[in-house]
Amino acid sequence: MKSIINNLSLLLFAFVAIVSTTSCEKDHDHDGTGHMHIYFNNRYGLTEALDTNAVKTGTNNRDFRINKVQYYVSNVRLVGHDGNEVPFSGEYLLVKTNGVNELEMEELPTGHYTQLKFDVGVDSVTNHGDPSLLDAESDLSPTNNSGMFWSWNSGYIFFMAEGLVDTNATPNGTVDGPWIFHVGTDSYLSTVSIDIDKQVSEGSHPNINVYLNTAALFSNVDLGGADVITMTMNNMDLATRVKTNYSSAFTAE
Amino acid sequence: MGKTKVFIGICLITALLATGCGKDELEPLDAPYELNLPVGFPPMPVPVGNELTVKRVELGKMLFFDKGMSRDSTVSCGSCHLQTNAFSDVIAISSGIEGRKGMRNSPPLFNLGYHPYYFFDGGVPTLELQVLAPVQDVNEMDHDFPLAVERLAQNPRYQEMARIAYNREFDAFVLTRALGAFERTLVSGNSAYDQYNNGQSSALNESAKRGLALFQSERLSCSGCHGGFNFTDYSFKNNGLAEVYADSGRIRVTAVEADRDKFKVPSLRNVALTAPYMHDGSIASLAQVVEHYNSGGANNPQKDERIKPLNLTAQEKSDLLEFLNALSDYEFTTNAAFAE
Ligand code: HEC
Ligand code: HEC
Repeated sequence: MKSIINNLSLLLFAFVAIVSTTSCEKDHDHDGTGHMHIYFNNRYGLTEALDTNAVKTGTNNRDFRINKVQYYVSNVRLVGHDGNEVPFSGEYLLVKTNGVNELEMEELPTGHYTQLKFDVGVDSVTNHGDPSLLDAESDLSPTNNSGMFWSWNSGYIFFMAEGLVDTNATPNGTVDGPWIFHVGTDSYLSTVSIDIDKQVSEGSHPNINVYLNTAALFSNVDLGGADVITMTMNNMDLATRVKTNYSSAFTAE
Repeated sequence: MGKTKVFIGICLITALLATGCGKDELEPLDAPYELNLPVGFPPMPVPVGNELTVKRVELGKMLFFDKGMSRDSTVSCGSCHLQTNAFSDVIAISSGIEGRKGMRNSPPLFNLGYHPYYFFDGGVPTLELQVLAPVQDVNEMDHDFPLAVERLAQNPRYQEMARIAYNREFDAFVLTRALGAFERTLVSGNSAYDQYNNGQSSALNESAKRGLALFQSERLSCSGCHGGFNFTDYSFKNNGLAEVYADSGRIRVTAVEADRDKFKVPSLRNVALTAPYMHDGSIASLAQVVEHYNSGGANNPQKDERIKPLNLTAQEKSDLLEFLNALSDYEFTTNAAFAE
């Protein structure tokens, strides 16, 4: 009996020892690291920052305004010129309409990175998990006031854009009715790949700026017609067009 | 030497075990809540981390009746879910704050722990997540969730109970869990039918016994959808209420055309106490529901093939009604443990 306990405790020591050595090894594994930030920014066009007060003119001379553009970025990774993918920070970021939306990685392995990849939305495990466990401050918390969780159809809105549009039969320039694009559910997860050219050397601190051109949201979309509101399930055709539009409207520098 | 090793080993094991389950360990002030399930009910599934305890349930009950959860402090969960009516409402469409109207009838709340999903369209998987909907719905409590939590957290009693029940400050986690815990205790299974089923043959009169046989018959096939101990198989069906539905039902959450105009089959326990009926409260009385099924319903393309003219005699209709009336559990609707 006593020897069984003895052996057990030895095993336990061995286990603890192995666990602690493997977790220490990691830190000595690579040749050095740089420190990187990735910033996500909303623009209108390729140079202009998104202005939620600006009234724009769309197809058929119909005026509209963008009040809100927010979306989840997840599964961010950098691809090296050798094709190796390096996961970046592992976080879920809720990019808000304005302000600083950043991801940070303090120990990014040195190397030459030629591609940035990320998903717009969240993976299906997270999408169907129990988010009431999360801290209220978490970007994924359904109680964080961002409105990115569907309470009647549990799951995240991956991409949300809202605003006002001139609904008068003959457009007269008054933006008086809402347009709403809420894109979500598992099959709407999209992956974005952007070519970059970033050299990360030991101790360096390079940044990447990612831009979403929100003007591109409206290609093949007629805000004066039937393309005004989608909660995804009620208008999958519009949700699909909106997804296609934003997925190809990202640039980076 | 050997002894020391054994001692350290045991300490390590204890330490590992303690951290492993420390989170769910109950404070000595709290105690497991004994759920007394009726004979014939299967064990109720309870999510890990929200095991029923006396304080969790007590806190959940206080929250259920707290109007402070709504934006203008006028509406509580209990405003739309009345105990006397098996926690349903007596009007077709309940009023939220400022008398606002949503689009659906408030369903009764009992035996909820057995439901595989919630709402008429089944879009919400757990009771904990369900709480998010009424608090934020503009036609119900219209509150901003963080603000609702912040206001409730001012209550020192809630803070004290949250620490005992969940070992943390009062927050969204505590709010959703405690309500879920209380709702799981709303168990109903002591109707005349249950007493009959458990061997008391005098609990049902002859008419109700004939009604039971009709209910289970292939000719009526009520139990084909309203079957099992909770009188529902939780499937989504169309029972032919109208040719065209204003509310498209389950398709709203699945976008599958086959789900158009389909709604979750409701339990028929306590059904005599839950008028008006159907997802929109469009049928006022049980007698009219029986007439509806007898007529075979409206010609909706999604209507289930079992909904067809039944040619019930007057006697059969009253037998069926007598049986449906025998599903009321007055012990449940008067139980002080669930009262405000
Ligand atoms: C304004 C009235 C109103 C208020 C207030 C309200 N409910 Fe409800 N409740 C409803 C309606 C209507 C439904 C059905 C909604 C649907 O299916 O889309 C419902 C459905 C439910 C369900 C799902 C039942 C089932 O069988 O699927 C639960 C559980 C529930 N409510 C609990 C609560 C809790 C807890 C609160 C307080 C936080 C609450 N309700 C506040 C009206 C209300
Ligand atoms: C094909 C499945 C199906 C069959 C068969 C069926 N029902 Fe139903 N029943 C439903 C559905 C679905 C609803 C809810 C419909 C809605 O809300 O739109 C319902 C609702 C009801 C309600 C209203 C309950 C409430 O709380 O609102 C009663 C009562 C009822 N059924 C009794 C019966 C009886 C009696 C029979 C046999 C004559 C029967 N049902 C046969 C599917 C069925």
